[in-house]
Amino acid sequence: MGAIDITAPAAANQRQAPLSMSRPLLVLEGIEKGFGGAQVLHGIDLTINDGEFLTVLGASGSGKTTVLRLIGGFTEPSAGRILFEGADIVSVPAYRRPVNTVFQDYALFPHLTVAGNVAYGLEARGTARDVLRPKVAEALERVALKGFDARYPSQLSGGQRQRVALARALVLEPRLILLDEPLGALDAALRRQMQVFLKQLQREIRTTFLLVTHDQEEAIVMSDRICVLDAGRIAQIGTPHELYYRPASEYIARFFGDNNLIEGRLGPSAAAVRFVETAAGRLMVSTKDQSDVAEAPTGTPVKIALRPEAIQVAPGSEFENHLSGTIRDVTFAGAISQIVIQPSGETARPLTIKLASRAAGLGLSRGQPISAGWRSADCRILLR
Amino acid sequence: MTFPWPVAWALRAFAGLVLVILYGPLAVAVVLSFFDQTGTSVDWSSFGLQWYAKLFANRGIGEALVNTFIVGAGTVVTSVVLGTVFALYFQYGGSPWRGLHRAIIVTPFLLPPIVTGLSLLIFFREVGVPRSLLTVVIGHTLLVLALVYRTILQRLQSLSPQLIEASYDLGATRAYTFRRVLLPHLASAAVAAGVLAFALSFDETLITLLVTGSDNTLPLRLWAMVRTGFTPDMNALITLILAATAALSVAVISLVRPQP
Repeated sequence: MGAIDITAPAAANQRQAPLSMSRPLLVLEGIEKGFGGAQVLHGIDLTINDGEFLTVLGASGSGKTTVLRLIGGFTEPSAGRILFEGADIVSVPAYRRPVNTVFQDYALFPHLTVAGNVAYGLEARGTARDVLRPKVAEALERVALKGFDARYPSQLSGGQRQRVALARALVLEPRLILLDEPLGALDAALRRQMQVFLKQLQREIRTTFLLVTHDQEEAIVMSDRICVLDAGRIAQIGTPHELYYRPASEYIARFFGDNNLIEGRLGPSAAAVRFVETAAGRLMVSTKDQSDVAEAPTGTPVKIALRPEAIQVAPGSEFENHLSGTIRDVTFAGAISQIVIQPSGETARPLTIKLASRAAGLGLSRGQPISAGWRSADCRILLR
Repeated sequence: MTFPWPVAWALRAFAGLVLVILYGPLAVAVVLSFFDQTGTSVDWSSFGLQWYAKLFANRGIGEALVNTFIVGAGTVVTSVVLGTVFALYFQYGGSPWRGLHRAIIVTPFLLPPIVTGLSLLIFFREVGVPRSLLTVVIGHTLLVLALVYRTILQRLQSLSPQLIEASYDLGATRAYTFRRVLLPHLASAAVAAGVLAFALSFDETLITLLVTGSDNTLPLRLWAMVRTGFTPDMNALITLILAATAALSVAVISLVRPQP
């Protein structure tokens, strides 16, 4: 599409105006949901901003699909409000909500062709045939399914069905598109391709996407923000960067990539840092943006989250934390190598280090003594 | 697993023999319907459709054929409509009695037809319903509804609830969803059930015999012909009923078979 598209309808032009990322589109307020005695969601407060790509991430049973079904209008909250641009839509039936869903198993109508499926929503709204045709064609073109109009869903591959489901939602120009594990049924290569495609599409059409997934890598790659659900509660909301580098809890630290978790007790504070007494000695950790950690009483049991890639071998003096030990294991994994070291403290747990293989290859081998270090700013104290 | 050749041959011979003994007589009637016969000797030079011509020259047969189609059509419409409504009631009615309802509908198919027929006969007489083709349709519906209902219910239960949700999600109301998603999903099952209903109604004899008035259907006509002595045109009638039943069965099988 060119920079200026005079054929586009006025509404579409309006949507291409710069969006302020902070304008809330949909707000969940104190949402509770129980299914016959079992409480699935506890006091969910979540704001989805206009134009953003937000992912609700959680293990199975975390309640993430229920969040999506509440917004889609397929189930009602036991308590709380769902505000769409300020208006409560809890009592609005699914067929009158300005959101559309891409279902997990696509839920294409098997008795309708690809074009029939995509046209369905417009037909249900009573759109005239001559208005409908070009819209359907445009939606199919957008998902690279031009020429597939007359096929039936049973004649398509998984990836193609997925794109029909997407086109079926896009054609209605909803304000919010809900995607329920849309890539779950695809193989790994196709999934990566679709991740990029979805992200690009979302940028192009500037529509708010709410994705539900259990795949943390998918969430990191695609999202502007991620909301992690743990057993029906929000564990943390933030950008992928924040969740990765500033986990709010041990759960998040374990959920996103690898982390060394070093147990210890809080020691004295200093300017913007806090000392932690551990089996591997006294460690210095930054308390930036963590007033709760800075103020927690001395002796509180905590864990330190430390990324394997943040640890340096044979560190210089700019690293506040140093320890020495022996190499227990070296694993070559292509571009990076993983080294497990046993710190010299008696009860200290082993630490995992990830190094670029070029560096690791400089004669590191099992049983060899090693010194390692990291910056106070590269680790983080977890109170829970 | 493969059998040693003597066992394999014995199995084939046995299967062939049973086929001939059990199903051969049907073939005999079909073959003989095309030839003249004097006593038990067949005139093989007389191949032709003369008995079919004679059969249709007999006004009773034409009328019986028309009656059979009227009853069949009535039974198909009644049982498919009721079967669909009852299947919807079972699936979406939310009634605690639905299980009992289903059991009652299925029962007449398992009952001996003579019991069903006699019960209906007694009921019609007590209530004072004149026996006619209408009472025959009622009797046939009672019999075939079990199968029609089960076929349609099964299809209804195979409908993914996600399709209904997808329809709502795309802005369709309940009524629109019913028309565009639910009914098309049931359509081929309803057609298959209808053909099955017609096939069953077409050759139903016992209940028909008990609840009909003065109207004859094809099987009843055949029954009446047997009682007055054998004539060669009966072979023609048997062949026609056989052919119709076979055609309908093939139709049912191809319709019920799941789509790829």
